[in-house]
Amino acid sequence: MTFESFDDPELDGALSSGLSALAPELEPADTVLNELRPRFQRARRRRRVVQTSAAMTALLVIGGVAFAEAPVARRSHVTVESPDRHTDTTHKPTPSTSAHPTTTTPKPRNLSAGSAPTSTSQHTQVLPTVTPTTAAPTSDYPPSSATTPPPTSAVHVVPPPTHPLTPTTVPLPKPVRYYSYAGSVLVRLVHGQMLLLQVLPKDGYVGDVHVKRPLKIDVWFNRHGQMVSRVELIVVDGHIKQIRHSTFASDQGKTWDGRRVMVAGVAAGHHGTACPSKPLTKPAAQVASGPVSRSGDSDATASDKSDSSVA
Amino acid sequence: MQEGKDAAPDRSLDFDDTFRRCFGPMVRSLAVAAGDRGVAEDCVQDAFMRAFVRWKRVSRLDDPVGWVRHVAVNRMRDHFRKLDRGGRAFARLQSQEVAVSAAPEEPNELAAMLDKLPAQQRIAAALFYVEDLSVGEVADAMDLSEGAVKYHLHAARATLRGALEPSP
Repeated sequence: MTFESFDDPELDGALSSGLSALAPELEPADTVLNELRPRFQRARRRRRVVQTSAAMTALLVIGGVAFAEAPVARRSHVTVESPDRHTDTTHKPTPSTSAHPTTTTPKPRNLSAGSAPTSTSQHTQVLPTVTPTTAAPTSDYPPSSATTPPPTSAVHVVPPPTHPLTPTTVPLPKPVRYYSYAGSVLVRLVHGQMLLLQVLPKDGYVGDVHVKRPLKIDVWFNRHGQMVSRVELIVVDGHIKQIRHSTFASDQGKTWDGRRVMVAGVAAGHHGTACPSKPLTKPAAQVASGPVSRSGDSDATASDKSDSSVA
Repeated sequence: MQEGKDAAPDRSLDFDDTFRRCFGPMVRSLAVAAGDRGVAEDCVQDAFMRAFVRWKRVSRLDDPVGWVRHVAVNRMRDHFRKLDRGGRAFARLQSQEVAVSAAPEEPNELAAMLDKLPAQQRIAAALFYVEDLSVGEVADAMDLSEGAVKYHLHAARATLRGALEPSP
């Protein structure tokens, strides 16, 4: 007690002794500590549980936020989400080769975990002569309209399977490619839902998946930041229908695939532009690399000419 | 790994030593301040329990005992606040005539005077006179400035002086 303002040590001493006399006598600290030790341990366990729970909650929140942000980030990176783009080696036939161009469609990868296809299913579905029961349903293709020539099945030449067929395998539906002036879109109908396999813009165009839902896919093809063409697909009664295939701005009036390209706003409701058997206009090397946007040297007119000649 | 195993008992030993050394004086001083041994024991035990679950951090402080005392004093203040709220609520509910038995006579005049002191003065006096802490330590425990502690001690001493002086 060194409180300098206290000038009465006797009073301080009396207060100290008097108040100390009021203090109770206690048990030895060791006894109390032994009694309290289980309580202390429980408190420590509770604290650790709380800390662990808080950490896990924080991780879940962070993971949830990251998951919620992920689709937006993917959309900003444009286009192709299908792993098929690296294996699609469809060749574009040259006009001088023959009237029956050869298209090689290798086995695509299993796209989603929910789909049941196996690795042997692709060959079985494209060769109806092997086992008719396992052939791919051709009803996935949109019905051909009067203005659109039906796709010729002769352009597909697929080598026969080199392994025996497994009777339990369920074939995957055949992927269908829909064309637009500035590129093409490869989709597949699985269990009544569309899977976007590939977006393949032509040189100088950029593909942008605008809508990607199980029943609707809308892909825009942009050039210099402006949308010049789009492919809009919907699923109606278990079939894919192309309801939009339009060209905008400076690309009006150009031809593609022997037909007049539609202008903006006129394309809605147009059906039958799917060309499942039409070969792609890209060389195999370019397609296999899966580029999304190219600043190629060939302009759209040149591509149109090649397409027209093929048709 | 061996070091970690050795380190844990050391920490535990430090805590045990601290507990053995400080538990008794803290309970005694706070029992004087609260006028209730059970309340004081609860406050100090709770403070030591909080120190135990985070002893790794508390033991690295400059004054681990001061941290424990500070927590205990805060618990004591909470107790006083709770009593104050309870007293006010009881006064509000006393609108009807209720026969209240007279409070038992205090066996000690000093204890009666101490009970009339405000909580801050009671705690300051108990820590200063019973636990024999310095003004600075009392200030740390009560989270007050030293001047404020001196003020409370001066007021408490002036009040308690009457209980010690022989009545004419």
